[in-house]
Amino acid sequence: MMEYPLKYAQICMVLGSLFQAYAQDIAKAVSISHCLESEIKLQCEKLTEFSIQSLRINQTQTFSHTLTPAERNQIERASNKNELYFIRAKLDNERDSTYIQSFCKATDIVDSSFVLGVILNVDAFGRPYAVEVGPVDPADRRLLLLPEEPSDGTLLGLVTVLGSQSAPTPDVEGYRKKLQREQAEKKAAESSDNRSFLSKYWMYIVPVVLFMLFSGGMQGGPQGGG
Amino acid sequence: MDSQLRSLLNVISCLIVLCSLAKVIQAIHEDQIGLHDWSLQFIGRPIEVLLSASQSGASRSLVYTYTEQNVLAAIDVNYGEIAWRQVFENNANGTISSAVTVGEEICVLLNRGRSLRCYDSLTGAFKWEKWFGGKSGNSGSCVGITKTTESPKDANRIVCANSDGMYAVNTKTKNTLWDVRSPNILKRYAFASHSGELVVVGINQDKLTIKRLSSETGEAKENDIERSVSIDPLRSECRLVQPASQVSPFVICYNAAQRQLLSQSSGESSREPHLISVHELGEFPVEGKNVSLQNLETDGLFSLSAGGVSLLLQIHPNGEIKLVQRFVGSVTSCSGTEVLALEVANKRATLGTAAFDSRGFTTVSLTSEPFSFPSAYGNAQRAVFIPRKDSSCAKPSVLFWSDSDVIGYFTQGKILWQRDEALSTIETAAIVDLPISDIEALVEQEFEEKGSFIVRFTKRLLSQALQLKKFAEVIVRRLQAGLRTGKFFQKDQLERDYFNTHKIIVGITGKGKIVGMDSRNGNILYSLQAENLVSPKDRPVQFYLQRTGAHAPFPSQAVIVGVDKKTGDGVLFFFDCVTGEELGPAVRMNRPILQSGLIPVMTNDHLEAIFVLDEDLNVEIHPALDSAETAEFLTRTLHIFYTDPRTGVTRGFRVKRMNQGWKAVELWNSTLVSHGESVVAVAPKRPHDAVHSQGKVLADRRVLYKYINPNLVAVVVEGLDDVKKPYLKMVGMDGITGRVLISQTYRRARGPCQLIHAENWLMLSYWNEKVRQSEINVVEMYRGFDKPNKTYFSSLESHEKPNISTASFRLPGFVDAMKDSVTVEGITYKDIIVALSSGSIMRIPKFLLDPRRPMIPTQAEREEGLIPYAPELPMVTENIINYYKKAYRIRGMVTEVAGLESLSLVFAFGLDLCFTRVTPSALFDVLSDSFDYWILSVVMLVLTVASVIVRNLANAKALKHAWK
Amino acid sequence: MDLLHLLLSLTVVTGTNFFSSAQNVPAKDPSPSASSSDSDLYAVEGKLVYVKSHDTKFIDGVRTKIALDGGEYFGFLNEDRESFTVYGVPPGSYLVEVYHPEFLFEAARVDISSKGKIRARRDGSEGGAGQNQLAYPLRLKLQRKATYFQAKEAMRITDMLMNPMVLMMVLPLLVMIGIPKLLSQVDPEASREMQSTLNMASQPMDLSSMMSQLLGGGAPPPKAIQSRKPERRERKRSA
Repeated sequence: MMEYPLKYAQICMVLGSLFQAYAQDIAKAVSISHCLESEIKLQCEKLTEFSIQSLRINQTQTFSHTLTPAERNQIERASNKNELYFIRAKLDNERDSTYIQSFCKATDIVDSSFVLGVILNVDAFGRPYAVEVGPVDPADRRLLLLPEEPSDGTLLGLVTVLGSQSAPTPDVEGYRKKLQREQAEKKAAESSDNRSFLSKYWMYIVPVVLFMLFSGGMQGGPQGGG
Repeated sequence: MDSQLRSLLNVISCLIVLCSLAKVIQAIHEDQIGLHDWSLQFIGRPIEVLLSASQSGASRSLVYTYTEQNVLAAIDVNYGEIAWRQVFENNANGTISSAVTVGEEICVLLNRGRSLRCYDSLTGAFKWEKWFGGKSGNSGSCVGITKTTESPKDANRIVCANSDGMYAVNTKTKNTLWDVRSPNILKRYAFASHSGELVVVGINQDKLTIKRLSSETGEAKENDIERSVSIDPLRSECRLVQPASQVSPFVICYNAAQRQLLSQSSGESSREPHLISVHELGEFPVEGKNVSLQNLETDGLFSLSAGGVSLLLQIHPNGEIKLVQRFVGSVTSCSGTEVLALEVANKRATLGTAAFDSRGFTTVSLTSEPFSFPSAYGNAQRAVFIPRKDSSCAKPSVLFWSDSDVIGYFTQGKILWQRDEALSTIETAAIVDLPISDIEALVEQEFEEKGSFIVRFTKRLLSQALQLKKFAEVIVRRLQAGLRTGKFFQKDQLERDYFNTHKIIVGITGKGKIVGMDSRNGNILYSLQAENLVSPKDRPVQFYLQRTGAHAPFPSQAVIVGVDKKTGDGVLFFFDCVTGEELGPAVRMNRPILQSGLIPVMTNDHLEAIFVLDEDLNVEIHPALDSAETAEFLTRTLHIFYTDPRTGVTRGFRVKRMNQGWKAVELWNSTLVSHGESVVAVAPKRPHDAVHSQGKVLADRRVLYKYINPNLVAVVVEGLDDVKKPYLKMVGMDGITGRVLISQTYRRARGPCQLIHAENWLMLSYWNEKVRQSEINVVEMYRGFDKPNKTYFSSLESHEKPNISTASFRLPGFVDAMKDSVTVEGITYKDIIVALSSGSIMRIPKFLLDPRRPMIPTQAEREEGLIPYAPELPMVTENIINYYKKAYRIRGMVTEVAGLESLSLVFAFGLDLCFTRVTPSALFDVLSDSFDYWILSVVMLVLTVASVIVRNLANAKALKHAWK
Repeated sequence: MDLLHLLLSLTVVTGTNFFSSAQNVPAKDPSPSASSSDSDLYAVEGKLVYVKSHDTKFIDGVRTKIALDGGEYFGFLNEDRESFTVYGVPPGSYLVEVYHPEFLFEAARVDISSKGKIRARRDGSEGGAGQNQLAYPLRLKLQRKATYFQAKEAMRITDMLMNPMVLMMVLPLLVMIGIPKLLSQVDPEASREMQSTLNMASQPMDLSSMMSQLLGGGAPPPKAIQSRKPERRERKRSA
């Protein structure tokens, strides 16, 4: 079950550059492809492309890709053999050898009726640095965004963009305010308790008086008698 | 009423806070100092050794040295101990260029030649400091001039020359006598000639300048001599040598760029410099780094040494330099006419003297028997003759040091002491278990479950008989040893003790030196040098323990992974970490190594294999595992995580069997670093990280389950943002799938950072640029209140993201290193051990670094025991585990489990070494040392006696009463 | 399938551990920083404020170091054991700490502007304003002697005697035995009275008899057996 909160709106991104050779190049689009295991090098097929401008943090976009029967068979065979299903994202200004990639089990894809949940992590400059793929839980609200119903013939994808949290700093202000408040309370407490001595401590004085009466009575009693 | 209730609540909460804070303060007792801890201090490799100016009084047995680690120290030659030391700044501000002893003081020139600090020679107390100022130059040199006359104008003074000019300071009044500004020289030397004249040599990229000044007034006596030479000022050295008594001295420079020696007369300005290539003089390792040029007392002689080879050279009055003799070792003066040579050959060294007079050079006569100079010493770098009452050229006392950081003192025909300063350069350390004793091994064997029950029964009986026999042997041996030496109960072998607190500390330096120390007292048990192995450029040498001492007849094997000194290809070196023997030949690869690690697959002799991933993505496994099922296991389960420190590309691999070898197949790929950023720290979890509880129990009896991902790796990246302010980014990713689980940015923050990753939390200490203080950020991960329905964790199946809870705290000081304590089961609380730059090692209990600490605690939170939030971590001196001792420049720390659950062992290494133990929850599983057996037994006895007496009295009284 | 998952969870993940940037290694300037736009360097001066006595004799030039920013710049204590100067400090904000193995001094923050104006302020986040101005040249007070050890918990007899349970039992015992003895020596009548009250106390008390005693003031209803003993004793004593 996906446990992070989801918000729906437009996604936008601004890019920095990755390598010295492309120092001034700004990437304009990121393309997402999927791959299946084969020998050493993966064979990847492009699924879709997003423009960097359209990627906004915490928002989801969708894509759909028609699956040929051959592709579907490949995926199902991979799922039967317990193989892995890869997803790769590439920026258009990078060399072919530079990409970000992740994977999940092929059975997960088949089990979630060919709906992919893809997460792109972007850094402070808006550049995607990691990608993630996984099945989508049937109760996930993002499924409402899909343009069509999941079916065997199409591969549907939900691409969510996540950013970076800002780390907290020591809360010095809050602590100082708390101390000031406590000092004020202490002052108020000290000054407000100005009722009379008797009215504050009657609970303790009365039993003592009764006790003294009784013991005096006892001594007096037997002495009078004996 | 209301206020009373409130005040009552306050009292209760204060009590609870106090009780919980009581856990915070916990220290050893004063009489336990040194019982379970020790610390060693070091100075580093000497650059120069000076003798005391006044050879009288208590400072007679002290020699002074300043080292490459920016330390000024005095060593007592009788014992080899540090009499005092002053540790300077760890950067160029504290780099010492030159030192001078004048009177009762020793003065050092620091901070690129800009600051002169003087200390008392006997005690090391600071006396005075002179700031010369000027633009940040390079280095400088000073020379001390003692007064020659008794006139009031003449006084002891120090003349220093740096990149900006020359200064003379009166050592008594501390006033500047004169100064001459002459900037734009890269390197300057100040020398005093025999005639009392001051000769200042300045070197620029293309020019050599010689000035001659009066040491009293600083006036130039004659014109400067300038010569154009192509010289590299930073790697070159110059000295002033007088060829003969009536001839003006020559300035001799070693030009590292041209590998030449240059000599220029300082008197005759018309003469041109003589140049001679070192190659022509003799076989000399010119690529050596520490080339040093030294004067000798005898006129005209000087020595050039590097890489263990010294050339004794002579300069003739006409400026020519000729070779007198070549030594493998070092040469120094022992008197005005004799030189002393320390020669090393075949792991043995000899000392010989040679007399030199106008006729020539008589051959070296040996003064001592050859003494052993083990290969662990390396090459002899310098030798210095120590003039003492009983030391002469015939029976010399020599202080020498080697390029392997060993300082030794040879006197009365033998090496009296040696100091291994390589211990101050340890980069990687590990604490390993000792092997179990034979009897324990038999006990383990006893319970092996193989065979039918009759077989096992007979095996047990046999094993127990053997144990009895071994026990008897041990008793007999101890008795014999005891009768011989008078010490019974002495353990003669290295074996585990009952609580497994006696361990061996293995330290590995960047040059491939491996040192094993006894954890009880820091004694060096063994020291070996892995040949041609150095640490890779971007990380320290890696250490892996392949087999612990629990499998007794087999040695406790460890491997270190480094690179070849010359080629940079990977090297694996196997050794026994208890005895220090090399086990098997070192494996030399032919490519550089990317990653290495242990595989949890054991061979039949309980050896865990190690895999090495090289640049071509080939994977090698040592020892080779060939069976089909291990191959199958490895293909399915071995995943390798690698971050390239240069490019920041992080990849995950799986291995595949290919043509009798293994190949790594990339599974996932991320680029954590973009333009201008760099990776600062990578932290996976410990391999056997024990987490005892699955979650935290809250006050309402619900359980907050922890998110424990054993495959989580945290990477910290440093960079500059668009307004040129530094920032840090921490990314926590699953090492198998590459999924990003944590991504945090720290604005206005920069390194140096220390990252700890354990259980379900991460801790990062960094420097906050805005408030200019050190802070620690704690990130804890929880999965919520739903109980996980699986007892194991699988990265492939887990698609959830953890709930992150994070908070930051301010630290009282500057962090050099940080580590968490570990215990066997993980039940004990954790302590975070922090090494501060003030030399104190402090422990901070983990519950102070809890992100759930509330600002205003509710009733539930108070019941749970959470301490209210405070932004500052308290500086409690009782929590300083090395009490009043100081351990400076700690580079790293290692914590290890002991047999007791409440104990964790801590070893800190850096310039100093410190070993101690930590009990985060107090010593709850053994009776503490302060348990007063004596008083308890006395009281019990008294009470028993009293009760008996009283009983008798009562009986007597009752009897008497009954008779009434 | 499950076994596969189990094995997959045993995967080995390794990482490389780097040192942070070369701040831990003594950096030797490899190149002359002639290009470094060397702003002027200033000196931070100050004094340690403490009472010079036998206890503070170890605050001297050997053990004391004044550190700026944790060791970027060091200053030492002059021969008067009070004043110090840290030279060569470029403009910026620094934390001034005093390192001494036995004593803790207060820390201060020093700001050096680019024109060379030096201001000192209090360092800390607790309590009042964090921007308190301090005097410059600095005056760093001695806070306290650092305690590193815990006092040993010895078992003392007083611990046992001061235990409230013991006190509750022992003191009344002493009172009950001691006071009658004392009184009997002083005043035999008073001791007889004490005896009688004690005997009174030993009678069974029920609510009705107690109330009737208090309000009526009459003699208690005699209990045949018990009253004989004290009578016998009294007779004996008086006889």
